[in-house]
Amino acid sequence: MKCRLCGQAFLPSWSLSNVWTRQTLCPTCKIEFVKRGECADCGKPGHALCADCQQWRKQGQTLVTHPLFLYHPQAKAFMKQYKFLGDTALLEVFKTELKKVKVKQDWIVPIPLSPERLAERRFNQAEWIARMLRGRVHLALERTDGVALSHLSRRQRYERTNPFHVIQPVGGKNILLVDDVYTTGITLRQAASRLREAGAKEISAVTLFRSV
Amino acid sequence: MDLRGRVIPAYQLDEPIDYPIKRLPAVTWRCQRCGQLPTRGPCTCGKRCYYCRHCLVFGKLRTCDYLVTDPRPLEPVQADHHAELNLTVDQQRIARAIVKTIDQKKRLLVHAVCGAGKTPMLFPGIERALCTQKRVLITTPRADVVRELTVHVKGAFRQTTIVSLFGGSADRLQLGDITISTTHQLIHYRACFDVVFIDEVDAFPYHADRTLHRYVRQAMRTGASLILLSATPSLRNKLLPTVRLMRRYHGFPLPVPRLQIPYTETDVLDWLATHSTKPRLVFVPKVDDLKVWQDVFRQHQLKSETVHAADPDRITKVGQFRQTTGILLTTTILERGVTLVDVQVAVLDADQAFSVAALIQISGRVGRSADFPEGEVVFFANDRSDAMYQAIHQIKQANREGFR
Repeated sequence: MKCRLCGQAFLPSWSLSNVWTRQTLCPTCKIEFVKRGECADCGKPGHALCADCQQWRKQGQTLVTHPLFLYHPQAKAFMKQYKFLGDTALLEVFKTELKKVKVKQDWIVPIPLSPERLAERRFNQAEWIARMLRGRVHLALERTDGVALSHLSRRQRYERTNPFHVIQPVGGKNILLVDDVYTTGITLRQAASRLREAGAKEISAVTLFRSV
Repeated sequence: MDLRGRVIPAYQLDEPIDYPIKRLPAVTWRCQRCGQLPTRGPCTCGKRCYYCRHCLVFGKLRTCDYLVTDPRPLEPVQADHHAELNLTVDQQRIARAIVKTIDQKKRLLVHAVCGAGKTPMLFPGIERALCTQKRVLITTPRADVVRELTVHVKGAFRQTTIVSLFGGSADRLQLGDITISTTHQLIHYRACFDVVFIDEVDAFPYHADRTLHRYVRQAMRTGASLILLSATPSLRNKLLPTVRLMRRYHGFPLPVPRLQIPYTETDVLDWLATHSTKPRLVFVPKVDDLKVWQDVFRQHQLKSETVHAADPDRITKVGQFRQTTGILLTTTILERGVTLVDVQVAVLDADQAFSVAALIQISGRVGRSADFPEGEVVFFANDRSDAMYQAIHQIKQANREGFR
């Protein structure tokens, strides 16, 4: 079998527990993906509640986020291939992990891209992660800015105005936000605050990676 | 942008075009650019499109995309003559065979030993092609070789347009009368070359990668002549009509490797000490071994540099090594295309992972310049492999044939 990520041929290890799962990553690539850390709110390794999340809690902006993995070099290689080269079928390597996420919320809402960015990238990476989860996906948000977040400093991210607005009736719904990488948590919280203003009940989030 | 003889995805057209372009399907049951089977994945068009994972780095191609090309005929080729050459009698024989092949639109394998002076032998053939309105392509799997060839060819042909293509080169998507390219970059070219030279046909990854063969085939016009150059051709390539040149351009025989079985660290260190005034290339089988041996050398106060395929400053390191009398630890990445003056070569664990072709190429690094035609090659091994003995046998045979 061929590894989806590095292209290297490998022998899948068959056992009774995994006969029905499709093995898409070679053992060397698989071992590189490190599971989330201890922080209850954002999955950062180190403390039970990291300094950033304590700050957020003080400000009353609690958002429980469940990242699957840490954003280590191998994860960066994955994101480069998936997000920037547009290898959408690569997402299948996380199929089992994404299916295991327990979704009790009514709606799954992916973080949208701005129309210009969508035209350039030609797909929304968060939307396809959301569609891998077990639950109903609603594109309830819209985005207007076009500034790439990865070029901004942390401070600039804080100062930025909220680019999101809600385009579907979310009143009384429990909502699960989905994004690809959690870096500072600003984007997710901005989206969450807009949804709360529109009347959403409880909001939490799932991301594929937590950057460290 | 001039698109004659080239195809690009429609979304990569950045400027408006004032001529009727031809639209081609991008992905049918095969990717129409690289010829691999596509994969199915989510797509913005609302369906699950097929797209090609194989040529993703050149821009994603999906079923709902189009490839565009310019159907107009190519511009005529400018005739040009090469600078003064002084070829040996043997080289002239090969050059004549190449010219004849180009005239007859046939195929040819040039089997010439390492350091036979393959590049200047091409020039009479290139000249004939340019004078008879034929577009020339020189292609090779290695980007380092492309850079070296470009310098040579630019020195010999002053009038023509020479385009050099490799990943990240400035001439992307250009087409010259002489085009020098890595095989990967030919993915964008369709039916535009009349004479194709493939240097180092047996090199990684061309020898095993059928898609690269496809790129070359697509870039050739019907009735194009194909000339393969190699020092260690595969059996399959030997089926072609072959001319052989078993003598180096300076007339000295190939250095025959010496075997050291078994060996210890002290043997290697002694060998390094005997050649302490010269640059020394040390080949190891795996990337992990580089670090191990570098530490061993450091314990004995020997400074060494390491080079491997994934090394970002590979080119600068080799460039620096050219001027010094140091030690360069390397994997098989430097087995071909490098010319170092008065270099001595050792292969550590030569019985592991080295193929016959690799060992012959490695031995061919030694004694390439006319000023220092001799040197030493040592295979250090703890076991005996067929490849080592085959390599020595073939080198000896080549020497016998060259000096008959």
